[in-house]
Amino acid sequence: MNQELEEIKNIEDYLLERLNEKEKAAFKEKMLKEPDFARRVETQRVVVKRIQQIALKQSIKKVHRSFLIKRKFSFKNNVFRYTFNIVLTIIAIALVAYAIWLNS
Amino acid sequence: MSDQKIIDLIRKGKHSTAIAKLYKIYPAVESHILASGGNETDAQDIFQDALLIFIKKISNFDFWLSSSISTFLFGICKNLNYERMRKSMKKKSNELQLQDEDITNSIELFVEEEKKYKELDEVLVKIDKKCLKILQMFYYQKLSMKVIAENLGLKSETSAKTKKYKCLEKARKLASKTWGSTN
Repeated sequence: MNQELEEIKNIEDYLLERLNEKEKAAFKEKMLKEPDFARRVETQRVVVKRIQQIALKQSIKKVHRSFLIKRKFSFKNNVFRYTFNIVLTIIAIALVAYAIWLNS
Repeated sequence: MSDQKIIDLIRKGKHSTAIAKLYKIYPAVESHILASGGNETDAQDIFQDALLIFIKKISNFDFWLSSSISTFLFGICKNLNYERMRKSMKKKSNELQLQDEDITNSIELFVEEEKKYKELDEVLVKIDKKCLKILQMFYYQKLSMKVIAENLGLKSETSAKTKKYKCLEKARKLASKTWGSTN
């Protein structure tokens, strides 16, 4: 890994609290001494946070859509229940009419 | 499913299952919002924002839920709905005073952050699909690098790790171009 990737790994270890006390102290000191480094740490922290938020939003949207579809075709939904009942009634009437027609 | 089980699912990164359970509360939230003059879209938007706020709270291991999940989530929805009413009907703030300071603060923080990072989010969703996937698998689904490597058909755990760091590098560069420069 090149130097930049090493730095990214190091920052990730810090953010995920995988550094031991000594490493953590050195890391914090570096942040104090090098404002550019501190800025890169902050950028990486925000990037990770937003990637999590974007993923969470996508999960919520997905569940939301399937919830709406399920509700549309649920018997608790009046429109669906009435439509379903009307269709059933029409089929029943048609069947009775057909039976009468066959017998006549 | 018990409240603790839902909390555990969220903390383990199994959000979808938890969210599906939380939708049981949606009909009550919708009735509340419709009764206060909102429409179905308002209800849907409010509930989705409330879930984001709720999950962020729960994800924090220090957070102690003092009521039931449904009471807490409903409380967030009520507050968001109150904000909606205040904006649309220009109600005086003392007409509908809400007490829960913790929820109010969480909402404020959420609104602020969504505004602040809107541009960055737009940039981040545009990094290549494989990168976004690998980062989401690691940071959101909390899968191990071994599982991620298998899932993406990468040769080894090490190559998956290197790929992840390269993706972070890419994302970081994009971020410093948009967000980082102004900060």
